[in-house]
Amino acid sequence: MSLGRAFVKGLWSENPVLRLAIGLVPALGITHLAINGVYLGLATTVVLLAAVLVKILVAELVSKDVSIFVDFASLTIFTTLLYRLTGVYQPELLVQLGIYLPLVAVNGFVLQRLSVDQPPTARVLDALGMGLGYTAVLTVVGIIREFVGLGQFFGKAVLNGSLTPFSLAATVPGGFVIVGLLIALYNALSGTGGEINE
Amino acid sequence: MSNGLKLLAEGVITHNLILFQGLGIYALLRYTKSICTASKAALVMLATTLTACALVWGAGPLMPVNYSMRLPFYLLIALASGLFWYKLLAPTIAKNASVDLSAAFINSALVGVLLTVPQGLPEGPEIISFGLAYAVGYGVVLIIMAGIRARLELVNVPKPFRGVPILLISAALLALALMGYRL
Repeated sequence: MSLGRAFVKGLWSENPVLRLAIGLVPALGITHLAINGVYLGLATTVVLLAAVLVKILVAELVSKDVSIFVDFASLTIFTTLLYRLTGVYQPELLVQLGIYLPLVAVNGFVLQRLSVDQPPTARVLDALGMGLGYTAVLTVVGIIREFVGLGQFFGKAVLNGSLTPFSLAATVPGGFVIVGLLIALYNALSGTGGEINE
Repeated sequence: MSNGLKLLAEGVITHNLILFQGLGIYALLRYTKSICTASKAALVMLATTLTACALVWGAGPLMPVNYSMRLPFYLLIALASGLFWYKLLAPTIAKNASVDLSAAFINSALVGVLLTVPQGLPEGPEIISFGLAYAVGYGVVLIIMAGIRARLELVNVPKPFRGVPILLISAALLALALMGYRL
């Protein structure tokens, strides 16, 4: 696989949320505000990239059986570090994100990308492309849910009383519907659908 | 007794991990192909959650007071519990299984329960009851969704909605049905 393809595939053809349906927890749980989607997407990308770099650095030193422990250790360390940094610089955001920021350490998307065996450069580009694709989808889901559910766009009221927001969209069941419809739209556009990737 | 029932109602209905917190979606999508697989995933969740909650209870006095300092402990406890049960149950569960259940041993729902413990304020043995209620709620939803999925196989769903979309929308309808109890 070319390096360009390793980067680009995560944006559309193998998008973690729309195509692979992994790492859906933040998309459903916390993206009722667009800013949450942006921040959690970027946080996940940073943690994934850092864990990938550690994996590349220690690849020669540890066996495959031990590497899972190294993965969990690096994910735990980087997630905790990010949690503390967020607490220092963005305390309000930390409260909004609640348990979903620490859950980056066990995000199915991160664990799945770490388990894929690739050459080092392709691995880094794959993590970056997948992370950006993931962030983009979380942002889009957040924008839709915030607009429909709260009548806002990144915290600014846009409906101004002309329409009543449909508050269900800001709840988790509303998230299920919106993510389901987005995946259906993706399936219709890309001609896929019907199967669930293991 | 009434507190126990209230906790159980919270875990199964009003604060269900899957339907109202969006946790454990991987299991919802992958382990509901049959009621047998869903039951196995529910059993794994019950075992890992109870063990992890017992470890949290046991390690309570050693835990740092600061919540952010506790995070690594919770993650390590989840990992320890998951690996323990993986070694114990994986060979039995893998027999005749059509799906690889290894991801069921450490998942967002398990860690989510542990992370919710200090925020929900239960202490001591209540942590175990808390874990039990939430794990039962998780299992109940997986089994119900496996039943719904079996029915969905019999109807003609438009192609773009087949697979993940129809499952998510069905889960939303189930959540809406239970939402009345939250009012």
